[in-house]
Amino acid sequence: MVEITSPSFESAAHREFRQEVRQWLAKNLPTGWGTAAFQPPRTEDGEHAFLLDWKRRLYAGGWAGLSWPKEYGGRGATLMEQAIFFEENVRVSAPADIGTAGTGYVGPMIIDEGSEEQKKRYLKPILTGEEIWCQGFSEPNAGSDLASLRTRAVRDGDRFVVNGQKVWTSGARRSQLMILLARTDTEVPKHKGISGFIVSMDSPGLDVRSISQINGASEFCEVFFDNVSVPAENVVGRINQGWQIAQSTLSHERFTLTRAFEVQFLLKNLVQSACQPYPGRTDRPIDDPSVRLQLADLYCEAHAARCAYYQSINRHKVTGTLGYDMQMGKLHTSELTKRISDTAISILGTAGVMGEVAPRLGGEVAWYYQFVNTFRNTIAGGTSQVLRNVLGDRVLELPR
Amino acid sequence: MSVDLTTEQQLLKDAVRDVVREVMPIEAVMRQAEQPLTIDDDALWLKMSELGLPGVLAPETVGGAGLGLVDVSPLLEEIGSALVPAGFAVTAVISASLLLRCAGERAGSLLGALASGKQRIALAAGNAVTARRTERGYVLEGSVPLVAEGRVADTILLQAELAGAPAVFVVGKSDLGLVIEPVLTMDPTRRFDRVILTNLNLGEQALLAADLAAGAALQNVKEAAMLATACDSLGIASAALTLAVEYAKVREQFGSKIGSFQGIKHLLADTLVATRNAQAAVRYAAMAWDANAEDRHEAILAARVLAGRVGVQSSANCIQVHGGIGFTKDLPAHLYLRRAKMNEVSEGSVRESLQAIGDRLEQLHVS
Repeated sequence: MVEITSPSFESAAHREFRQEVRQWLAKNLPTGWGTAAFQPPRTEDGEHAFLLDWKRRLYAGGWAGLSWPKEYGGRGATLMEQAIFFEENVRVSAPADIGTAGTGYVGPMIIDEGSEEQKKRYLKPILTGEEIWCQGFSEPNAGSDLASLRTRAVRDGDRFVVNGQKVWTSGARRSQLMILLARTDTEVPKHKGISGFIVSMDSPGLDVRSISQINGASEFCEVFFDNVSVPAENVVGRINQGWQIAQSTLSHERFTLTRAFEVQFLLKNLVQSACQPYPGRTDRPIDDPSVRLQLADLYCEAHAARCAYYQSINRHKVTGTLGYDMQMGKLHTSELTKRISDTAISILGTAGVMGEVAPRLGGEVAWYYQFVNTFRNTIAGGTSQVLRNVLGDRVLELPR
Repeated sequence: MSVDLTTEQQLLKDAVRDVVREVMPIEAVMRQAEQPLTIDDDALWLKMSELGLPGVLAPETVGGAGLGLVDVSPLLEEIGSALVPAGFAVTAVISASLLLRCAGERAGSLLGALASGKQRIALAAGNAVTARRTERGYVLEGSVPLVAEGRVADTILLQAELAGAPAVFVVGKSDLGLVIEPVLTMDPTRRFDRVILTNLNLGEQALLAADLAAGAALQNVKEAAMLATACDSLGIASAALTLAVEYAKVREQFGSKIGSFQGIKHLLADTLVATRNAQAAVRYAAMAWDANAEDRHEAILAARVLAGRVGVQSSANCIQVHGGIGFTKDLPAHLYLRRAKMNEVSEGSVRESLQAIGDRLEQLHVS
């Protein structure tokens, strides 16, 4: 039977798991986390060190690779348990998992498609946090149309020589390894001539440059390949089967892209902000009935996002597939994060436009930061427009 | 086959769908909609009674099936999709829910009659009627403007104010002083009536519940009614989306099927997502209701808002996608729209529900 889980009526097993996660988080988060009492690191290096330490704690606590099969060092958690873990982390705004690319989709992809040697070599360091991964997929001329990618890998004896450029590579500066998609055959239809490679970010000829993002961060990078040498055994799967690697990676990634919990968290913060007096006044935004109506609207949408997400997971239990549920969720929740942040600025008066330029780890995030930041959500991981095409074509089966 | 339903729920849903298609298909609905004051669903009610559907919520001790709202909500969706009259919703769900919450033999025997399909029972709620004690019982006075299924009800459950507190009375259709007048509304697929009470005398046994017990029961039933309306709207949303998609797949203009144009495709994709979201919220609300969960009230309000809106959105888009013919009575599209829009403003409207959520937000999120 398919059920939607809720803390009000979930099974005893799930309730216990939820408690276990909550308790571990409460015990392992720094004192004062989420309040003004917590002193965040003041530099980017300091933040990185903090996040690496958090990653090690996750590993020591048995939470790294939650979704991975036990034989590969994971916990073999069900999708529902993964969702509960995710929800509890968002609830307390826990630090990001710096190794999320590895544990979330590179690792699962290597488990699905990699050789035994690759599994032995690369899986454990993903879990421990010793090796951080990035994804070299998009290019300046291949974003939504990923199959048009042009970065070229040419065979030369026992290695491949790679030339080209990747863009939007998240966290490239702090990564040791990249999963790269490159073209290995120019004579066949475009998505049949792509291969997946494991590339060391240390490789000579590989150059990383930060992109200046509108939210003030520079986590996205351009990566340039100038005759970069990649050993032949670093091909993942078979030559020219890279599109399969891409699909496998992207479908694992999709599961982590939902913002169903994030919208609940944002809404809660917005309500709390709305209960504060306007700067220099005694009245509050929430005292205004029209503001309450707007917030109620967002509440309903955020609630629906959560119900739909848990329903998808339950469907998966019955059918073994998520279908296009994750795409629907991504489309809905990414747009919703923008609406919530936009509403925040609109209703909070000047309170929404003040605050720190960049968010401090564990501290309060200025609404104007959120507002600008959310513009990424409807672009990365499948633009809203492309997703609508996908849903129209594959779910509604409309003519192409 | 929906993966979200148990086998039993799917069987029930299919049974309702089959009965409706056989006895009151869309062509019959469209024909009757031309004469809404004389809508006739006796044949449908008879078939549903044969299947035991009137008694779905009633306990097995009185011949019912003892099911929950989560089992019944797919049936209500099916009825919304088919645009058939609301006999099932009113008698089997709303009135049954109220009777379940009234103690005493009278309520029990009414439930039994309801479960058998022999009695159609409507509910006239609201603050329009006052009751006064008399030597032999009570006298009632007032006029309830909009009562669903009033004219076909054998019995009407009536909310009245008695000595400053809510009370629930039972009124028979032949009672002296009771007048039922059909009312024309925006929605020609369902029956609505004005129920007028003029010096209506009732005996002691006509009082089913009073004071706190009545207040609590009526509040509960209001929620059940909101959920039933949400299910009706959800059914409409799904049917309207299906109709629009089917058309978009065959209609050609400019050498292409119109479903290939992004303007149409994206409109329908957005409706799909909104329908899915509302459906998940309605399912959650039904489960919360059955489990008497602590977030039951907000869950029902949210489901009411989401389903109420998507019913209108989907039927509006359906007309738009059909172009010129969407504006004709050759299609049921306008009926989807009318019924969905009426659902938006019926008891516990979308607007009021949003207001109620808005008023609770501080309490819910600031601890």
